[in-house]
Formats: sequence, structure tokens, C-alpha cells
Amino acid sequence: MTSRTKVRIVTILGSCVAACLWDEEAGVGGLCHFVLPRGLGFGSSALRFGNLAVPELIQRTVSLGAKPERLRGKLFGGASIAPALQSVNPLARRNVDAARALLAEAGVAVVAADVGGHRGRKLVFHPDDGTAWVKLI
Amino acid sequence: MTERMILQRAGSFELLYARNGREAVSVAREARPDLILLDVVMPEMGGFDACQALRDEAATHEIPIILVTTRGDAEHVETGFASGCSDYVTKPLNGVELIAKIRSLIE
Repeated sequence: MTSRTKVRIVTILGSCVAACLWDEEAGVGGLCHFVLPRGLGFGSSALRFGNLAVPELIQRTVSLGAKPERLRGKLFGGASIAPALQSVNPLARRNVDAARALLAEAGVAVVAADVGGHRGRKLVFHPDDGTAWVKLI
Repeated sequence: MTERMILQRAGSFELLYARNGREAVSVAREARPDLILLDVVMPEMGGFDACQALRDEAATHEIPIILVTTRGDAEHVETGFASGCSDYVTKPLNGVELIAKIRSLIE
């Protein structure tokens, strides 16, 4: 989801990752919540995959007036949640790694991240100024 | 029904079924499966209550639980995590996503 107006985007994250991008000067930003790091897909199902969702998010923010070189990123999610799980959920780790790699490839600096751990997250993101609130759930 | 088709096609899982949340708790208590897939909307006992009941039982409290929710259900998903689920998937289900999440929790 992208926006140039004052809205807030709310999403719930387990092993999924939310990549939040914004251009503060343009007041434009957006968030993609992807489920799997990489894959093939068409239509709305394509956005379940990080390799398709992140470029789409960048394209949409640019189409709303953001400059690619001014985009900044924040990452959230990628938790490993299971009572008996002491190690890291491999899917969660791959989602976080993919998000970092995809933003690096696009030249977007990640200025903050709250990833990993063993609890889910409720994320509230303000796309106009990049403010993000996270509640562990 | 969709999840049954996805899991049967995947071919590598032994599946047990329950018709409602109460039966799901009973089946899980006896069989102690590797993972539980719980629909939020079920007769007699819903997914959140079943999830909480499974977490409260010594026999089942460590079993990973994936909740199956409907799209746009952020508040429900938050309730799901509070009741102890390990992850969630949204309908319409995507086979690749469902299998990846299951494998990540049991392998």
C-alpha cells in the first residue's frame, strides 16, 4: 500500500516481513508485507513474494512523486514463534535477509529495523513521514 | 476444504481432521501432531478458543499452530497471536505459502 496523504497503515507480522519506504521531502511512502522471500506469481498473489513486492512498492512510491535517491527504509517482522522453537525459523530469517538484500540492490538505506525475536508484531506505519510504531503481541 | 487439497497434493504429510474446535483439541491431545492448522471460524469452539485451549494443555502446549484467517482481519490476527498461535495464513490460501510456513515450523 502506498499513499501521499496522511494515513496510517496497520499490519500484523509473524514470520512475514514489512518493508516500509518513504520520501520525507515528497511526503510519500508505502509498505509491503510479504510472506515469502522469493517466488513467481501473477496479479495480487505476486505481492506475497519479496522479490516482486519490494520493486512494486518502490515503483508505486516513485509514481506518487518520491525520488528513488531520497527513499529511506524500515524493516519489521521475521519472528520465530513456537513454544518449543529455540532456534530461528528459517523462513523468517530468509524473509529478513531478502528484504535487506532487495533494498540494498535498490539503493535504499535501511535506517531502522525491528526484526527477529520470538513474538509477533503489530505495526502502525505513517507513510508521509516514516514514523512507525511497533507493539509486540 | 482448500487446505485439505493443498496438503494432500503436497503428499508428504499424514493428516488428521476435526470438525470443530472442541474436536480439534481432543484429536490433538490424543495424537500430538507435529503441527496444527486451525480455522478461526469453526462451530462449537472457534479457532482462538481452541488455540488457547491447546496452549493451556501440557500435552499440546508446544505444538506449533497456524491460524487460517480471512483477509483484512488485522484485529483477529492480533487476537490469534495473543491466544498463542505461531503464525497465520489468510484466505484465499496460496499453496506455496502454506507449505512453506508449515515446513518452516516442523523441520
